[in-house]
Amino acid sequence: MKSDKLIFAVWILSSLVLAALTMQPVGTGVQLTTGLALLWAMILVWMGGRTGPWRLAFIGLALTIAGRYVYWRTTSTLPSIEDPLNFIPGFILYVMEMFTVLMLCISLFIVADPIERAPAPRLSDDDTPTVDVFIPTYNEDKAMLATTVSAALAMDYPAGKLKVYLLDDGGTDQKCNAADPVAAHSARSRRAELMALCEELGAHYLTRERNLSAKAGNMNAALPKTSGELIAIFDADHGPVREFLTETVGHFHEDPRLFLVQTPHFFLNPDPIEKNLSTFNRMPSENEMFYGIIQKGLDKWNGAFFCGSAAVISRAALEEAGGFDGVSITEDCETALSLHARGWNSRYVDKPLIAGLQPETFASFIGQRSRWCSGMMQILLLKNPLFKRGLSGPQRIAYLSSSLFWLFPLTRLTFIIAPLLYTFFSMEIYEANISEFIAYTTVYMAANMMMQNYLYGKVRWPWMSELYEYVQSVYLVRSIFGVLLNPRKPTFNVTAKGQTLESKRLSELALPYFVIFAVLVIATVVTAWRWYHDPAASDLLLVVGLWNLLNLAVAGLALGVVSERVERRHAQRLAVSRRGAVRIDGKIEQVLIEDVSAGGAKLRPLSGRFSFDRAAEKSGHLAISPAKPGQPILHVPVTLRRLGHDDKGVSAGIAFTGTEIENTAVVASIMYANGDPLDGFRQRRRNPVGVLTGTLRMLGLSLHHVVRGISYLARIGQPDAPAPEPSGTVVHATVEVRK
Amino acid sequence: MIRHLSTRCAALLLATVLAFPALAEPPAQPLRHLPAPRGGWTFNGEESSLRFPLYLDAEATARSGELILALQSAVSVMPETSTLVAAINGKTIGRVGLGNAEASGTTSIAIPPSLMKAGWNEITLTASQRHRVDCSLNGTYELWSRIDPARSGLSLAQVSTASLKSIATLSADASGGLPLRLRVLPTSDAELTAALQTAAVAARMAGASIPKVDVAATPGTGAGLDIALGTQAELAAVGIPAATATAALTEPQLLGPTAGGRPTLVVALESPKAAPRIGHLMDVADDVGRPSVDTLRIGHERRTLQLADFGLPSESFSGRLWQNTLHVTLPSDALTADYDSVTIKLSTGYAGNLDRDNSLSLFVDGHLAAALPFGKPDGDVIDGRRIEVPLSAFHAGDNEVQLIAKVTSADDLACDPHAQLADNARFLILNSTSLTIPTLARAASLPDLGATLAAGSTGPDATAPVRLALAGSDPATIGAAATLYAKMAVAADALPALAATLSVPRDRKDALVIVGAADSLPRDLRDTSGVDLAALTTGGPALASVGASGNADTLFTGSIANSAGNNDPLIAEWKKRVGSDHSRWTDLNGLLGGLFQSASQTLGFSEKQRPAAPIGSSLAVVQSLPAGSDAPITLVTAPTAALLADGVTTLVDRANWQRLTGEGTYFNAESQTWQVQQATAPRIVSTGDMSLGNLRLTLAAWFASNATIYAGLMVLAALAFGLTTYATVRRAGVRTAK
Repeated sequence: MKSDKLIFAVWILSSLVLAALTMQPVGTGVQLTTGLALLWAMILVWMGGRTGPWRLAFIGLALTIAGRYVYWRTTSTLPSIEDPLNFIPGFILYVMEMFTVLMLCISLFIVADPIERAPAPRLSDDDTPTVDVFIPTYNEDKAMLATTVSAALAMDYPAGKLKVYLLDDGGTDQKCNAADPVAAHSARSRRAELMALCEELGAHYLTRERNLSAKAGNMNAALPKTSGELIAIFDADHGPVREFLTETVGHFHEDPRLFLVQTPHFFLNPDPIEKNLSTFNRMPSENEMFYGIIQKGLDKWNGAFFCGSAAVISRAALEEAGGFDGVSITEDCETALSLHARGWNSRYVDKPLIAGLQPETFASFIGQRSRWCSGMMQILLLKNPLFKRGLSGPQRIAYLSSSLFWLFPLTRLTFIIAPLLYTFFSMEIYEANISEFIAYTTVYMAANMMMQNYLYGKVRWPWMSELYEYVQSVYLVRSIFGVLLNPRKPTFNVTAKGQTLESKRLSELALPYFVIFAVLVIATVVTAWRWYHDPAASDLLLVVGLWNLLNLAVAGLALGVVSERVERRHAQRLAVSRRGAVRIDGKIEQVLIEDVSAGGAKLRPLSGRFSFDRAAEKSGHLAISPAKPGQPILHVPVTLRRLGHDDKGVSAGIAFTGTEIENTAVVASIMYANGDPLDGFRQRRRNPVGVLTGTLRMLGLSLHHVVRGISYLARIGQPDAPAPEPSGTVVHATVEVRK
Repeated sequence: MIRHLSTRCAALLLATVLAFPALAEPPAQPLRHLPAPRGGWTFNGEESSLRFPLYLDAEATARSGELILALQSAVSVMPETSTLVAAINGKTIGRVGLGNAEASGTTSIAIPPSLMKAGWNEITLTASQRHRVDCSLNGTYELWSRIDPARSGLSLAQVSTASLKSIATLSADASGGLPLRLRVLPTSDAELTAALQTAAVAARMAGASIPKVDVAATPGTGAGLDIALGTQAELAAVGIPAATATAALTEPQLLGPTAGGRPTLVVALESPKAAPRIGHLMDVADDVGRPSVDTLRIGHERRTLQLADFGLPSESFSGRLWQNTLHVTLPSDALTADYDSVTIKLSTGYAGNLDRDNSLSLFVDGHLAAALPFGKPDGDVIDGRRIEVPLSAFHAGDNEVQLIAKVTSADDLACDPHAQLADNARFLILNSTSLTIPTLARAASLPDLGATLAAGSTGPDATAPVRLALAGSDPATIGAAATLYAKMAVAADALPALAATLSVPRDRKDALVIVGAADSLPRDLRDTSGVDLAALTTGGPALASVGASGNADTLFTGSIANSAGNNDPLIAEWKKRVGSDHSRWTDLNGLLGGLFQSASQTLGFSEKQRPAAPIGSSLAVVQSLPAGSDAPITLVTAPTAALLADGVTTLVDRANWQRLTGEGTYFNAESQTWQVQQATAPRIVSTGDMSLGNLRLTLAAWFASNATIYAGLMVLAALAFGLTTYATVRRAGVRTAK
């Protein structure tokens, strides 16, 4: 304890010395020398490593550059208050910048020392607690639910200790007795269908009287009807792998005050940005920054929070808190906040153990993010973590980080508008000359880029954060103001998933992006014209022009995002590697199953050729070798769809034609056999891209997608061109062939 | 946008016709010559102004007078468009055409009594000149008109009074200086101090810009003032009537001029060591006050100065090269470095259809500090545009800030006389244009002659008495010291107290100025002066005198040999020529050596090399900071006492006085050239302000000069912060990691 205090005192002292030195008003030349020295030191430290003391030394250097910038920005760049026309927008820009610096500091605190959890202890059958699986559903289709329920039932867990509940909010009494007879009929049919499905699969169907408090209310209604010590929660499209419970439940044995074990969300399909930019197979998914680094950082501060699915929660904790919270529309984070405040603990297991779907269209993506944004704003306003009793200091910061993050639309849009004020109206809202801009702002931006790359380089390409923020900002800013005006108004909207797009088209939300892009193009032209004709302002125009160009590049990339590519596949394919045998025309062929989806699979003959002829639409049977010794061999009727040839040789595409139960059992067995394929795919996409390469790549992509976006725009009103058959997005993952 | 801001052509022509004075008859009474202006007697370029302070007594203002100007212009000056406007106290009193044959004669401009006031007045002469045939930028450098100070001045009805106040009405001599003569050679420190003080007070009263003090028993002739200060016996010896001498025991007496002679200020002492009773003279000097100066003195606090504060009007300009000069005096203990910047807020404009490369440039002490490019095709009005000038461009003491606007046009190639006559304005500057000096660190960077001697003090504390030690008691040395002190008094805001001695003290704890010929300086001074003064003894006549005196120091001669006979460059040249001793190793060695030297200099480990005075110097003004002392020693020396007196008289000329900067200023009488040695290793000296704010600024100033150290400290502090954060973080939060 004494040494802790001593170290803390030394830390305070070093902070004060650094602050005193930073606030020395040395001139621009010295600042440039210092900035470059700090950047060089960052490079040297980077070469040392990314963990332990190297990590904090790097952060210390980067924070010093940020601190220097903040001091200068605060003391030297604000317009005079006597000039309100410039001062007011200048001050708004300043506040936004300071907000980003605050968020930087908070996020650095969060990810200062992300922890790697040791695997959960394996429990004997007697020690394992009983587990109820909750699969809340509202309007998802039966096939999707069948797969998820099958996968949940197939999880490795002692017999009799696992129950799977389908919590159907689409078949409530309220829905079944709706005034609209069509809606009522649909609800009753759904209820009957799902009850039959559950019965057939061995799961339990639960519904309730009224649709109150959305997802939180649905789960709360199920609590008194169930009794498992732990509750595993999966969204309707989130199929768990077999070892989900064995990787998570053991943690509760270690910590009796543990209320949550959260695992990452892994997606089989690209989000609309990945899909429309064609980056899904090579670029880390957007959520990997959160699940790959931030949650591990939060875990360090006992602040890993519930993300609505792929998690196990203690019933005792929930009952103590009175169930899931439902004040906001992000019940997950809100519930975790309440339980953390009650002194319960959480853990995060960084291993993908479920596979789900992301929204396919840009509109549904924006809808999903609007809900998240509104919910987190509600938490900020109604349950502000700063004032929530019972939270530790770090936990307050952790929750503040998660909720304040969603204010990014304000900063992002401000940064787009700010340079335009000078370009079009000659408003000088940022008083600096070119030398100061280079010595402070450029160095700060370089440090920021380096820091992002250092901390998140494996999971986030340069400029992708800016792109994701920008495309969301245009619509999310309305959500923010909506919550500010009426914090209790937002309602829970289920994100549409499994949608298809028969033809390429512009998103229905595309217009603002084209307008903004056009304004930025005009601004670039005006800036260039002014730069040539107004030598007195050339320095400032150069800075503004570069700033505007970066905005333009991101805005250009966004045109590609809102230019929707074709999506015909209902079910996503996952690349696997599993042995089996297929019998068609009475001939049996040993095969390797290379990928699988809810509808079918791709087979490759081990002998190098198929003995049956090439005629398609032949029926047969597929037998799949068990994932683990001792498990039964699964069979499913199949139909040969096509025979193909690729660089590996001959392959066959088959469709599952068994009963729904047979099909989903097979799919669950192959797709959700274990988490290794998911993790393998995740790791393979983690190709760090340097700042320079990433920037050049962004510029190249931007140029390409500007052309693509404009070509989509030009086709408005014309008949759809026949779209090629989609090559299909396959989540490439391999596992060892079990013999 | 300010095309055709005004057309002054008609007005100018009319004024030329109406107010053009006829050739002046020789004046009825002797001319009261004007004091030398700061920039000399020449109007250069297209627009140029000179300002002259002038004290008038009540009797003089009751009568009309005449301003007599003897002008000569370059042949390139176009008479139709070139004029000189004379104004007194801001009111125009007449215009003189420039560039015509008549204008090279003497002209007179009547000064109406109503425009004159008792006390200090200011005469402003503004020349506007245009070229006959060359309208290019280079053509503007051929434009000049010159005032002949010997034939110019004020013709006023002379009222002969013998009051002390009339010292303020003393005429300058033909060169614009004020001759002062000490009739009695001081024989004690008190007498010396009193004599020097009296001369300084007289110089300040007369508004002299160039005081010239000599020591001689004989009365002076022509313009100026004689000062007889001594005991009654000494006064009697120089012919002062006993009655006057007796009266002068209680208060100074002024004897009116004899024919062709000067008035004499008499101060009597009870004894050579008694304090003089010059209180009354001081009171009269206070009553007279001081002329408005063309420099603005500021303190350490943040201050905004507008052009109007410098007496400049808002102005539209139709030429090609507009320029104006301002003088700002920073405190002696103002530490200037890049810890802040001087903000210029411009309210200006330019017309359309001008060249794209035009600009408004700002020079500080001759160095370009900032520029605002013009070049909008349609012109522009710029209101409140900020330009940052590094504070390091300024220095403690007097700073010359020059604004130059280049507003050329493609039409200038044609140089159409009609266009010249049209007088269309091209450039506008408002006198609301301002410069803001930030809060200044209160500490001195020494040695710095500009901040100390040139500002009228011996050290960084401007309120401390000037300590002046003479290395010789001969008339030439005393005259040089008196001239120097009088000039310091004129340069200072208030009359600095004085403690003068006829010998150089051994104990030199306080800041001190030592004046003396090289051969009369104490030997230890040569070693502690910080500069190798050997060259002084080798220059011209000095060599013979030093050699004859037998005082040649072996160390000095060694140094001379080293300096004069240095064969290193020759050997290096030959090695280069024959290709020997040259390899990659030597390159590498040189590179590494340079790096190490640079690093050690930055870190302060390398031994400071003693700079040498330039060979042939006939005057050296050198300042050094002895080891362990914060009090600078300033040495004003020359090979001989006569050269010292001549050198100091040249030094106090206004243009030359500004050359006092750095740690050494040297004058070569033979080539009439000056050399300045900047401080090679200046030291920051505290002047007592230990407040946190001042310490912060002072430290920042030091860091600004030691960028690598600051950068290194920042990196170390950042790493320390990161590592201590690591140590703290790993003890906090969840510790059970894999």
